[in-house]
Amino acid sequence: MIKLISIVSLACLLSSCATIVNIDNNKSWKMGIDVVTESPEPISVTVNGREARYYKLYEGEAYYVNRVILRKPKRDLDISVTQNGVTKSRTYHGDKVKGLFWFTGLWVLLDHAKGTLRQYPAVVYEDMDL
Amino acid sequence: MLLRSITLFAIGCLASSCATVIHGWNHKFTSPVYIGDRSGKVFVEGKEFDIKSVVSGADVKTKHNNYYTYSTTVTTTTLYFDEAVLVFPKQKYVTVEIRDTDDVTVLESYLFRRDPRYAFFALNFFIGAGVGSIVDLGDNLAYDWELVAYRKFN
Repeated sequence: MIKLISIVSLACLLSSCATIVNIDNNKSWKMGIDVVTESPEPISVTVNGREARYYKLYEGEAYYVNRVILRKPKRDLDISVTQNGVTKSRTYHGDKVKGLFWFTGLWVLLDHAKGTLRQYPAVVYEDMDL
Repeated sequence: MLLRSITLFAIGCLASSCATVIHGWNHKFTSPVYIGDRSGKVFVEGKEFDIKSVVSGADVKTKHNNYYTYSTTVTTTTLYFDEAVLVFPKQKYVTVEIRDTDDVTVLESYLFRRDPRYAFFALNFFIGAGVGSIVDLGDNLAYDWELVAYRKFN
């Protein structure tokens, strides 16, 4: 019986490890801010005056989401997005997220170390000039 | 010693997973999303949504205290998504459209984002979510979606 539990438990452990690898591949562990557009045309994003890298996160029926990687997740981010030659700028605030210790366990420690416990609103390109 | 430690940790993971499954079962693996009370067909990710799953959400609105401030309507409709379908492929965004009876003309479109705090859900499923889920049951925080973008077409 104990052997059976051990085998199943080890399977869960391996699954956890696989999940960590998966998250790593998906870049979900990196702090970022999402830029939503209604056109699939490529965009150019600058964060606090510096060109930022991004990758496509979601392509839906009417919306396209790009995840912009943040090197330094500061509270205030001056974001400029250019698409089809039109540049829109706006400042976004990222609130510190209360660590959900029970949920994230060791990941909270990792997040604290990386300073990534901030939650940013999604940047909707079409709404940036409203 | 190392083997024993690994085994103990793994057993902890198993217990946590079991608690999470129980938690998921209590939630019936569904995830509510709120849209305006509209006439028209509901499409999720381009596929027509089972109308039987659309439930009037008056009680949910009260419970969440107008969490979705983007909504412009007084009444709301709640779509209960199948968690097993939406969460496990790690879907972070979902598009909901209200279409006319011709199934093509889009009247309104909504873009929802999973609460970023739960980006690690898959990881937590096996490690941390067991106890967390029990806490979460009290808070009713799990599986929240936020409205990111909304368009209404003429």
